[in-house]
Amino acid sequence: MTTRATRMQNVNRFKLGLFGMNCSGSFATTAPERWQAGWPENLEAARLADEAGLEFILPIARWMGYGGQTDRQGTSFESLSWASALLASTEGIVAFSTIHVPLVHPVFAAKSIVTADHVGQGRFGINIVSGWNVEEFAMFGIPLREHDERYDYSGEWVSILKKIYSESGPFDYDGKYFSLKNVGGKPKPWGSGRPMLMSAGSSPAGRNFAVKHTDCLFMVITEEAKIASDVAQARAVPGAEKVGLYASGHLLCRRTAKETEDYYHYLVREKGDWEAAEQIIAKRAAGNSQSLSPELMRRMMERVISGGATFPVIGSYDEVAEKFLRLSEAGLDGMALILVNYVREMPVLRDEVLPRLERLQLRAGRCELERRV
Amino acid sequence: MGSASVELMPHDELSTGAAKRARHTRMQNGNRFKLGLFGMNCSGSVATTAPERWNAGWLENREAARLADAAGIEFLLPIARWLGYGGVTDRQGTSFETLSWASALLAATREIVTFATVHVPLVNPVFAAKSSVTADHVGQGRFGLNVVSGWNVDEFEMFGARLLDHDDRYGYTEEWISVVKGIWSETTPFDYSGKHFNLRNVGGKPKPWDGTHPLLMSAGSSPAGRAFATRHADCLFMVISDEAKLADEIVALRAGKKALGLFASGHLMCRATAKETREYYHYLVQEKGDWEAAETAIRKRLAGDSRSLPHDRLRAMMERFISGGGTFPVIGSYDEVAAILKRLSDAGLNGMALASVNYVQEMPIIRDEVLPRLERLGLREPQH
Repeated sequence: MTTRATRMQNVNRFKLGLFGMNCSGSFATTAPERWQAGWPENLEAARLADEAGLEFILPIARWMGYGGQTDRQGTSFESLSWASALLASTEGIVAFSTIHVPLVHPVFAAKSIVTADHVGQGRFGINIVSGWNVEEFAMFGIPLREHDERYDYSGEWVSILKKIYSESGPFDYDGKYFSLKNVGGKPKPWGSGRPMLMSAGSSPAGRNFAVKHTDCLFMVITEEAKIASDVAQARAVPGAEKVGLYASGHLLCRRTAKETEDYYHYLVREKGDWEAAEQIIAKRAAGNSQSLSPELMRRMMERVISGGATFPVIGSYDEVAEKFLRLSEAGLDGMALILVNYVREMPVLRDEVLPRLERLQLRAGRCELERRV
Repeated sequence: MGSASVELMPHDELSTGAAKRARHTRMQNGNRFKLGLFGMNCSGSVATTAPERWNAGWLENREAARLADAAGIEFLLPIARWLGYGGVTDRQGTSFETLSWASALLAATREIVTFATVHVPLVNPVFAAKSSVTADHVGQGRFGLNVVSGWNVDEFEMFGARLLDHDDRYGYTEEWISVVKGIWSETTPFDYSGKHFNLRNVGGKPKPWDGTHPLLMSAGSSPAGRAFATRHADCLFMVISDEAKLADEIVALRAGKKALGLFASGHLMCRATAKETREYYHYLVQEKGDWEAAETAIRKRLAGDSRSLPHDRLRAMMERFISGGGTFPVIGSYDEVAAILKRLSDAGLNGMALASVNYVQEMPIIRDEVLPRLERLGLREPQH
């Protein structure tokens, strides 16, 4: 485990991050305020989040968009260079990179990660993903392995990375996927720890991998009623008691429930990119989507439009605060949030949501946190 | 040669549909002789045990970049290094990966152009294309890409990668750069079928900053390396082995491509007088030099052929390695180094990337002594 003292190790019971702002179309909408993911707005959103005391920013590794009118996620920044530049531009927030391990060599990644880690003086983390998108892998000319084998490969990849960080002398590595001679690397990660490792995965193989190799599991949660049992399942993996449990979500909130519903209706039903939504579902279901009933298909499409099918945190200021409280009580340590526009929505998050979470004692105010440090 | 600098035209290779717009960074400014800092992402620019040796920490990298930016220096060029040269100091044993390094420095500076140096056999071109574009947007067009094919067998073994035969390397690199350029310029997805890459439906957005593409540099001294640069790059990064032959080499290279920017690697060591410089050189190199690292490095580069070297020749090579990694020496009084750089400019070189024993501590000398002399010689305009 890391022995770091970044915001990811602060006392807040429910940590918050921004999710996927390196990619366009966080909401698959044609509304003019949709996220275009240009560099100046990435920089501005990161600085606003940093000043507001959010713990982290978590990008998505994406190489190809989903078509439709807006080509959701078709515009994206590579997340190592993105994180490194944002760490150079911020003070306290932790920035992650999301790395498709089959597409990047671990010896290259190890040095690139250390570079970002030094830039941020220990504020860097890595989200390890094994990949699922066949078409993206075909872009790279790299085959996608069978599901469970992906995690064997990722296990070797992470072992090499950790050894480069911990071994002071060169080592050989002889595995099923890598045969490396005289491997080493300096500098070592910043300070005494190493960058926090996160891994996304919902399958048993994915969860086991996260517990065995990383510090946090990034979960996809769908129904609120199931979260407590999802958390219990994840915690039941031997060794999981120390692993942080995070989930992806999307936040849409206005003063009242009615205003929120109106805005949701506008973004999703009126201005939604339904064409992109259909393609996303077809791609993820890999051919199995034809068997879906039209009603179910329509509901799934709506979820995709509204925050890429992540967990919805939608409602009035009070309602979303209460929803976060329930998520925290179900055992989640925090959530990475998609916003329709990470710059424009930040005042709502900062001035309305965060103070409510403080009153609910999920988070300490920034001043209080700084006093404790 | 005496007239205005060669206009760098970074768009020769873009497909016809792409916008043919020029960049307006410092690399396209009117200075006849451009200057950059070379290799500050790696420790031990001078292989010395002297306490002022370069340790290549992040904070000093950032400080040097900001000082260079404020002084009007055109560019920062890093070295891709994965393994040090051992010895007392393990020269270049500490290094930052250059895509992340460049991206962070572009976020921390205003005008200076920052390159990444990418070993093309070790990074997939689809990854590199997006990573480069990211840095390019961070710097709003101030990013450049130095593509290198690699030579260091030990480093490749760290990656479990095979070093291809020399000329084959450029075949691979050609395919690699074609894929990157395709991603940067093509507006619709394309397939790529080559000897080394077989890719489907390749694309990528955003495109590089503002309808242009990052300056491409390529290092190489062999005929194959130079032919590659002529076909694919905007600049060739040369090693000057013999100053007397430089002007002829440049004429030959320009015959292949008139607009090819020609840059070389060097190392700068200068003090007010020739005597002071000699004394400082003696201290850094003869007294405090890491001779063990120098010997390891030379044996590695010559890959076994060093045993046949006469002792004097080996010693001279070691000394040159210590004083700046075997790059061209720009050593002397302030006036002398200005005169050396003038000669290089007169020979047709567009600029030089300079290693320095300590990129922060030596910067006041470059800024306050060397640059004003180059301005008086008409090689550079004053920085405003």
